[in-house]
Amino acid sequence: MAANFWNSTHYRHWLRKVDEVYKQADAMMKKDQSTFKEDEQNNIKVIYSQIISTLAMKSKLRQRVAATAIVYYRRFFARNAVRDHDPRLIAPVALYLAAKAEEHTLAAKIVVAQMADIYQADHPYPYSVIHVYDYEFKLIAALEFDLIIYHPYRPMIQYCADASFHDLVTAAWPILNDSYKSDACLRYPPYLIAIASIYIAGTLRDREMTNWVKKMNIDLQELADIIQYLSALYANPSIIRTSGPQVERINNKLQSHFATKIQNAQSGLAKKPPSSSRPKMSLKLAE
Amino acid sequence: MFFNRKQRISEKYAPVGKIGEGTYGLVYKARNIQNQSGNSEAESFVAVKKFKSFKSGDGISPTAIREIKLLRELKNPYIVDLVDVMLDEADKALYLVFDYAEHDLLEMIRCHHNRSAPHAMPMHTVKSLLWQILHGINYLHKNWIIHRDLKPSNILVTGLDKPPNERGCVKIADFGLARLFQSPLRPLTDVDAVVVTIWYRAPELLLGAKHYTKAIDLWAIGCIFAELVTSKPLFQGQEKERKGDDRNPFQSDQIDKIFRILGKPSVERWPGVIDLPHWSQAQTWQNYPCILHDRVRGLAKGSSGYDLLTKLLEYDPDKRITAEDALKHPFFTEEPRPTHIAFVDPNIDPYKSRPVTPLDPKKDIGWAMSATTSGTNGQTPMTRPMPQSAPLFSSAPPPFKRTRINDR
Ligand SMILES: Nc1ncnc2c1ncn2[C@@H]1O[C@H](COP(=O)(O)OP(=O)(O)OP(=O)(O)O)[C@@H](O)[C@H]1O
Ligand SMILES: [Mg+2]
Repeated sequence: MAANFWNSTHYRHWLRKVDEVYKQADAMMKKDQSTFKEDEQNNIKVIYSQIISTLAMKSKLRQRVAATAIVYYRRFFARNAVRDHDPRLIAPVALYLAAKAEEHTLAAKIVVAQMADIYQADHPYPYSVIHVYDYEFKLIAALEFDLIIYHPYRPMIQYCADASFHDLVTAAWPILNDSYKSDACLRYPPYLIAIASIYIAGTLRDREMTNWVKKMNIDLQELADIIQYLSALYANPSIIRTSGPQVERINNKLQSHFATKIQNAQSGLAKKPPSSSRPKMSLKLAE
Repeated sequence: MFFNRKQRISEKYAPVGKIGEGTYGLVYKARNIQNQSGNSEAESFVAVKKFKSFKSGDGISPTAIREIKLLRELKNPYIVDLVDVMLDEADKALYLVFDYAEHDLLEMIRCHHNRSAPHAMPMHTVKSLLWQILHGINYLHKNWIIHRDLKPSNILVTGLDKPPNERGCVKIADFGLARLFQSPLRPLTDVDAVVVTIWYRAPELLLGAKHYTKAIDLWAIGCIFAELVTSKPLFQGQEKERKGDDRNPFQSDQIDKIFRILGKPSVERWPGVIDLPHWSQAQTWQNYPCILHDRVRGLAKGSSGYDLLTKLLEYDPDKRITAEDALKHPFFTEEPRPTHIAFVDPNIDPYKSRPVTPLDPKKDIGWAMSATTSGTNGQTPMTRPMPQSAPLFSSAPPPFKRTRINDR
């Protein structure tokens, strides 16, 4: 629905209400503070965005599907606290739902197996397909059923073509990939992220980009904000680069935090009656 | 806000009865419990499509996802309104709640298809319906969506339960096969080999084209236009069953039915046809003269209506008229002019109400059963009779069986 970004749910329900979204997100961060320190919260976001991309690659899904899943993941945690919902489960569920929304099929069984495969911790990966099915419902509800996501890749290619910046496409592409390790997708419209990525790519090659940007008829202040926001990711590489030991440390922390919940859920599952009668949710939403 | 997560479906909608049994689940008529208008006189209804998930497959049905994701983005007077989505986490059921439409074209056409006393649909109604369908489809196509399953049962029309200026309006429904077509991730045929009921399926698809274009929707609209005029499907082919590996067999009878009415296409008229897989076979068949005018007598051969029909039933998808151009066709500026209300008189609904089957305690489990236990849950049973409609026939036509013809 490229023709209609301004009428999209992406714009109307999320970007236009970015202040509201951020107020909730800040409240969630505060709620998490007693359990996860700020840098841990940040690491979790980066690690699990990365894990979504890795899972997508393993299933040979397009970058686009991973990008949609990452937006789902970030929208979910803008409204929910990490201490209540395990990122180790939300990440694969986000990809599972994104694959459906992007007209691909990814079996729950496979995404769970692949998650278990790349999972690094002292304990085995604790979730099964049942959890994926449960959380698919919670995720789609948290997204308020807004499933179509616009991404900056296509506009970036288009702008480069229009301006004959053919050499900048491959330079801007990884900048867009890195933008998904931040909250840029929650904050800014994709077409502006696209322009910012081209601007950064050109500037890094000592090209004069100002004239081009001025001709774009956009809010230059907002563009400057985005450029600043994306550039900051590179100022402190640890924000977007995570190492194995860091991942393992985070996963062990998540394991110790969620262990009792999982245990309760599993004993609940074992008692689950065969059908029709109403089983309890296997993972209780802490609301 | 779109929905309230805390509320259960039984608190918002009271089931009245069953109105459809689709491929993916059941459709119920229900009453809106919360009267948003604040006007207690105005009762409003919804259609609730229940998707079974889990047992049948892998989580939420992809069809439900497709309908939700597209309808959340769409808003148009001629597209069905998705007013709510409800989840029942315990039952793993998902309910799509639509604004209620009293009729669909399948049932309206059947009202006119009465052999002993044929009453053609008034030209004003035909034209208004066609114009509204084209408006809705033009909107979809502008938003890069192909519907892919246009047929009379998927085109709903509102009745007298609506305010006067919203009656007799087309609501295009069933987005279960609709696709965003802007650079699809892969050829659309990969996922679901067979789409569009064969009677309304465009010739390029029948001949094995792999890629869908907007033009397939316009072919289907052409077929529906003819059917509105004559009260009879135009190309009634016999569907060949899918068997074994061949998920999409050559529907030769359907192509034959088209050739017999429109004549066999020539390569000069449709150059692209030579690239289609089944053309080598079909081109050897006998040629027939075009007898379309004879089949659609309600449209005189030189009339603008007939001209528009031939442009919709153009063989070559590249030359077939677009929705946007069809709306500019002289047919719509001539009398009788199309209107937003397709009924001749907005206060008289000549069609019979949608049949509502009482709930079956064995099959309609979950939310739907709250109707039979009405009184509990703070729900009241439906006491108000359906709005009065003036029947078209002195004796109501026999209740038809909604047989599922040619479904995917
Ligand atoms: N908004 C509505 N108002 C009234 N009736 C409706 C509404 N939506 C659907 N129905 C009824 O339910 C039937 C099935 O709905 P729909 O076409 O959306 O489901 P489906 O599962 O795709 O069905 P099918 O496979 O038969 O096309 C419709 O043909 C119509 O009779
Ligand atoms: Mg249908």
